[in-house]
Amino acid sequence: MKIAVCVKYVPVDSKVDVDPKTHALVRSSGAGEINPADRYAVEMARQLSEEDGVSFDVFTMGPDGAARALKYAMALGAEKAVLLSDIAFAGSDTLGTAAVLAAALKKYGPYDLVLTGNASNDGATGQVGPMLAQMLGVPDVTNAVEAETDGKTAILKKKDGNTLYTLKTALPALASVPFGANTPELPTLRHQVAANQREFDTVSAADLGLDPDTLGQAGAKSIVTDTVNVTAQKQGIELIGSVDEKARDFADTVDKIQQAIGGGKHA
Amino acid sequence: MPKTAVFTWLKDGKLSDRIAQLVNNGVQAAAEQPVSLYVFGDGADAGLAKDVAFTGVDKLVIVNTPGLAFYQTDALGQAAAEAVQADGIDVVVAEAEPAGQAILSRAAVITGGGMTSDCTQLRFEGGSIRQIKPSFGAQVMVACEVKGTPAYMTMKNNGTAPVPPDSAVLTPELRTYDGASAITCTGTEPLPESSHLTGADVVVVAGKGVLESGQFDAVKAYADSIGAALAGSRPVADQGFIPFDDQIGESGTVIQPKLSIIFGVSGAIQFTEGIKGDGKIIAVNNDPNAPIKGFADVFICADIGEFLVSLKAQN
Repeated sequence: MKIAVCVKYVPVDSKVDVDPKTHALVRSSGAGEINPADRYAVEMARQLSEEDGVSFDVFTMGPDGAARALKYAMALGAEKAVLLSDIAFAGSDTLGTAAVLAAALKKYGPYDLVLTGNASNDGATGQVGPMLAQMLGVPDVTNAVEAETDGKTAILKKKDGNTLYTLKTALPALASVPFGANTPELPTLRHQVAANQREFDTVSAADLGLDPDTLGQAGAKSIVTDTVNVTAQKQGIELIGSVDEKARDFADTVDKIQQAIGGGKHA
Repeated sequence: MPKTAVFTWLKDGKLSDRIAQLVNNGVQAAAEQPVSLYVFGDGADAGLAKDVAFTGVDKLVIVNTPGLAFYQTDALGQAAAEAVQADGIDVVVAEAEPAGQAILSRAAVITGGGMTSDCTQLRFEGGSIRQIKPSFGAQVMVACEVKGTPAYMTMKNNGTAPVPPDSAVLTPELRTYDGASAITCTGTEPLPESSHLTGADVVVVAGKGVLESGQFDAVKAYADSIGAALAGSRPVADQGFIPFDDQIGESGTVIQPKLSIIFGVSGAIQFTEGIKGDGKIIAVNNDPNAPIKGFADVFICADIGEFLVSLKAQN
């Protein structure tokens, strides 16, 4: 049984700016990491791969640096790693991203189970999983916190509000895994070193037989047109003085508000 | 004028309580013209018409999807796509919640349409729909546009006024979608109440700055001392200091307390989207220019550690 995990390399810093001219995301710091939710998808794949005959591959779309997300999964046991990298992919919307992933999974597959993170930390749309599933013609279960499979079907536990649903689906299928679904194993130093020395495939639009005009910024259907500074700034007050004065005024303010709302220790 | 429709799905047989608000979002996208309303659901029938009689709706379509529940997105995506294709719908507006988002993502692929999620405002301007949504971490909003049709957009609850009810009940067009899903449900179990934060009057929030100054325990003790519920920002949950259900933000729990006391949170929009309502906000941060300052009623610039030591000495 083969599992594919699709991961994204995202900026560590939550401060991502929007270029005023191109409206593209500017990730100035350059520091990145595997998308937090994707770590839980990798862990789900790793746990499933402890069964005999189950293996997992990892895919990511992005520039060269995105290979670091592949290395993370490789250090946790991913067999094959594929970097989908092409200038034609830049500026893709969720449909474009899903189309590239779908083409790659068809090229390297077929896969019985495809896992993704529920949503990325930066774009946070949560659309790529269901879109990819539709392109592959398979069902999707989002917010899947547990998975077991016999190679023919998967039992997925889906969390929705205060209810845990046990869902059964024939394979192939796609599941997206939320942040906090399990306890990810950390890659050991030895495995990290080994992963760094391992090769991964780099795949372009041409390798996948995709038309560049349908990809990236050229093919995107949902586009950012401009920025709007609508965040309301409150005209609040600032407490000043020595730290002791600030702490005293703060405590007084909290007291007054608590009395006004009838809560807390003074109620 | 683009043909605009609001899509909604019954969940456990119930209508969403946001339909009147979504209709208003649809009407705004349609340059104040009436929209169509589509209700999908297992057992959906003409009896629903009186519950969705809203001004701003000039056509009601009720699609019975026998045996299909919200998690059967493969079939419901197909049902949504078929409605879009059969009726030549140009613009679909729906609620930004996980099931609808997955269903419309699939419908977008089937119909070759573009999609923008998590919009907070739609405006019809110069022949196209401007979709306003929070940007990625920056303290700005971005305007998006979907090229071509059909165009799908999901709406977050941003306080758009609901359209008023209409005394006239529309005669619905009744349809049935008979497609099957590959997914079956074999059981459900209740999870513990997800959060003690929902009903709390006073919430103390610890952010990354609290962890960096090693003051998590002190903040926790302070929350206890004033009888407040303790919550945190994403990095605090990420490092296991609080359960994920107690993480405040766009991707976590949204709270509406009467007083929020926020320590060491810079105030990126993903965080501030997690506090709603008109409760008071007090923020303490060591950065005099932290964006949280523009979100707070009372701001204190101080070293978190020194501040907490001094605060403790006050009592």
